[in-house]
Amino acid sequence: MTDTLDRLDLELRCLPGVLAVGVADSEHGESVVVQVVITAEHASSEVRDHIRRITRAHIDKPLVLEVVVDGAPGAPPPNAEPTEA
Amino acid sequence: MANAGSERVAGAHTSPFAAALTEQLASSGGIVFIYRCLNHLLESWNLRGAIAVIEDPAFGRQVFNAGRRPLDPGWARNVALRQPPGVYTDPAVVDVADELATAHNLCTVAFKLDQLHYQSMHDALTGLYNRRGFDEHLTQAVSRSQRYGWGFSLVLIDLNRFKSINDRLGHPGGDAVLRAVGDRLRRSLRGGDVAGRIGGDEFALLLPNEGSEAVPPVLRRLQVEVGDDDPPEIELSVGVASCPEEAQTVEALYQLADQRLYESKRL
Repeated sequence: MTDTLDRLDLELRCLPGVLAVGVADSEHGESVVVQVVITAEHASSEVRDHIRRITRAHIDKPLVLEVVVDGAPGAPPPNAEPTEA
Repeated sequence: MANAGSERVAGAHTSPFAAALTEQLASSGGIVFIYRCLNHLLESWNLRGAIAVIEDPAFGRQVFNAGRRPLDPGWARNVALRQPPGVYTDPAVVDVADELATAHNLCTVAFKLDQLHYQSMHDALTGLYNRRGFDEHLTQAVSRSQRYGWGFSLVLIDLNRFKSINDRLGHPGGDAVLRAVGDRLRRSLRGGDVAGRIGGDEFALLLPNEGSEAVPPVLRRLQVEVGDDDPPEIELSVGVASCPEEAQTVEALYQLADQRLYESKRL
């Protein structure tokens, strides 16, 4: 499992604008939560789709994908957008 | 005579903490090292959290939270998004600042090596192995077969009429198809199987302990999702060669699988 997560982690970080990757089990362990932090300028629908595809390809369990967009300087605090993947 | 700077660096690397980290970098490397390094910090000083923020012109800003934990709003997210490069701990450990600086430098080196290695072995479009990365696995599989008699199959896959898909959807649409096929291949494999994109619309699989009949039925015909109202149905041509029964070298395996792929294209 760790190898898979290491690959997922590195592959996501190779996408433009990805700053951080986090992984955790959901509260009751029924699904995996993957958090991807990305800069606002790179948070296009294409990159989000790419994030979803890469994550789906590595995680077999039910998945909750949380994309956190880091705003540009002066923008409001980062917002999280949990989506079922 | 060494200058003060080099003495300081040499001193830092001879501390038990730095020595342990350097040994781990040599043995694990890359992202594995970075998470081990952060865990080492947590255990060494009984901390609540540790975050490495590294930055490089080539790979930009990268943030690693100990335990690969998501960044919760608060201390962790503030450090991750707002602080300059460095290793940060919660609570801050002032008297080991030099060791944190050493950890940060090693983390930066580790990620740079990891990313360079990844890029040299993977296809940027699909995330699968590229020809070089796939051939490395294939060469190892041939060696294991010669030494231990472990069999495997090489599967070559070609997308039929990919040019017409490119003409119809444009190059971005063609790329989306290749990405989708790559995702489907990856998800249909078992642990230990290897998948690569070895040419424009050519893919390859390495399936350990499988004979020529190993091609999963799902690979024969793929309906890929590319965000189109009328998604293209992708037909594949497939050629399989098994080692050691049919061929015993990398070149012979490619030749036989390629020959069978073109035979299947003519059908």
